[in-house]
Amino acid sequence: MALISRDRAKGIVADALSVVGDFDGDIEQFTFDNFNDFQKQVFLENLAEKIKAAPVIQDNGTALPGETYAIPLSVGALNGWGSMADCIDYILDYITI
Amino acid sequence: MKKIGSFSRYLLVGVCLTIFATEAQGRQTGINVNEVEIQINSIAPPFAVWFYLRLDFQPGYSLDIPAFNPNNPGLTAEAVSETHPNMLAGVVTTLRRRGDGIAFEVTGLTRDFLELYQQGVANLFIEVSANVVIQSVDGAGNTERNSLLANTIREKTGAITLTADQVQELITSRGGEFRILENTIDFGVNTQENGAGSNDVFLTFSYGRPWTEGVFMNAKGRVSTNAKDSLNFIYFYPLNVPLLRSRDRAHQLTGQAGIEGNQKFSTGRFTANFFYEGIIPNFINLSYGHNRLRLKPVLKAGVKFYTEFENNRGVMGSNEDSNQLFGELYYFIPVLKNYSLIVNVGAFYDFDSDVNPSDDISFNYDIALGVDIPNTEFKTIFKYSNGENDVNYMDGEILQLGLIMNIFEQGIEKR
Repeated sequence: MALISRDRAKGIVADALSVVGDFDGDIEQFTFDNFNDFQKQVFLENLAEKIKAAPVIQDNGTALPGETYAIPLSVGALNGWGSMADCIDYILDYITI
Repeated sequence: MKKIGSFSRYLLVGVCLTIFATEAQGRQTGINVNEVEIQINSIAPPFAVWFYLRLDFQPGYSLDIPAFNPNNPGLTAEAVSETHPNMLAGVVTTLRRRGDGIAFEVTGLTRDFLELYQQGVANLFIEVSANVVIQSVDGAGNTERNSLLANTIREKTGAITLTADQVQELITSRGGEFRILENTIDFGVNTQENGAGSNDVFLTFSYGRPWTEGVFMNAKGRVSTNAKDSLNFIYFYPLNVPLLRSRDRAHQLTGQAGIEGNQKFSTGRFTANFFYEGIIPNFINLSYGHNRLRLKPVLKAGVKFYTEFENNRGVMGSNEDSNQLFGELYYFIPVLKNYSLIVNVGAFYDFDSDVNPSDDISFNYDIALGVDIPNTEFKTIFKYSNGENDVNYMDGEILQLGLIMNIFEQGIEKR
């Protein structure tokens, strides 16, 4: 059972992305290719903060009150993501409580 | 024959069930670790090394997260180094849970220990206070219990280490440096022939690393086979200090000190800069309905205090101490479906009448038209640069055709 649904992870990524950019549709194919250093850093810091602040609800809808999400994030990880879809998958692969 | 009463029958069944359950618990088997991974957290405190143990659950089963703590009362975990135990004072290890296993978050590792660890000189592993009871559950609510042996945890976490890049990034973060010290190099060819009938090759670069915790250097520049090219420059800032940041991290104030010059340093100055850098709202939309990520522009503006050690104003031009106001804008503008404009604009105003006798605000800019090459790291770039160099005040104009790539990304992919 996953700790978070893909849709919720995608929503968190979209929230963090909206701090550094505007978009109208699906985010999954967007890449990090044209982010400058400052935009990468702001995106990652907002992503970390929004993950930590999200209520813990497993992908089957079960809430785990009193728990908080935690995940390691790094520039090295970001540079390994080819797209936002990879970023979302990374969250699913490494999120913990 | 003596009959057993109802109460006695229930009591007997209860005793049998209790014995069965106790025996079942006693038959816990050791669960295997499918995969062990190491990651770092360098973005926001707590900066940490993470060990992931992905467990060999039966198909359809995952860790029963709510049952984990009740099944493991008093369980503690500790990062241990047999070779350098004294270097782990203050280190905190937290056990984390997820569907496919558990993770250990280790915070408080020092720079010295991290470097020894990455070199293989200092070992590090996780010691837990007891074998870990792992209860897994399937979608129907069936549960299964196994034991993750303390020795397995010790062995698996001790068999993995950080890469040099991970250690470097972690050290950078520990020092309080929130800026990415990304190392990039771009190259290209000037489409206009030089006087000798050949085309000059140019190279732009950005390089950064921490000297010690809290003190960072970075360098950036443009050099070419024509050392006299007026667009060439080298900036080297051995000291960069973050001063203030907004709550959403999108705005910050920074101080830096260093040296700025042309490629041959025949013009150069020592400088101290204080500048704002932030993300401002988009003011252009050329995507025309295509779903493109429209990155918001990054604005940088500040003041420079400098003292020259060489200048190009001739024999009568003495080296000056002066101030400059400066601003820069980075703006990536997606155009239609596959095209992009990358705009870099710089403006500066010098208060010194010898350096800036006409009392002008000077500009330099470059505009690049990029076309994505699918499935590659490369983009074709047609780049036009024009304007005044803010170190030597020489004008330049150039049209470049080149390929751009990021060597840091390449390095990560090879890992």
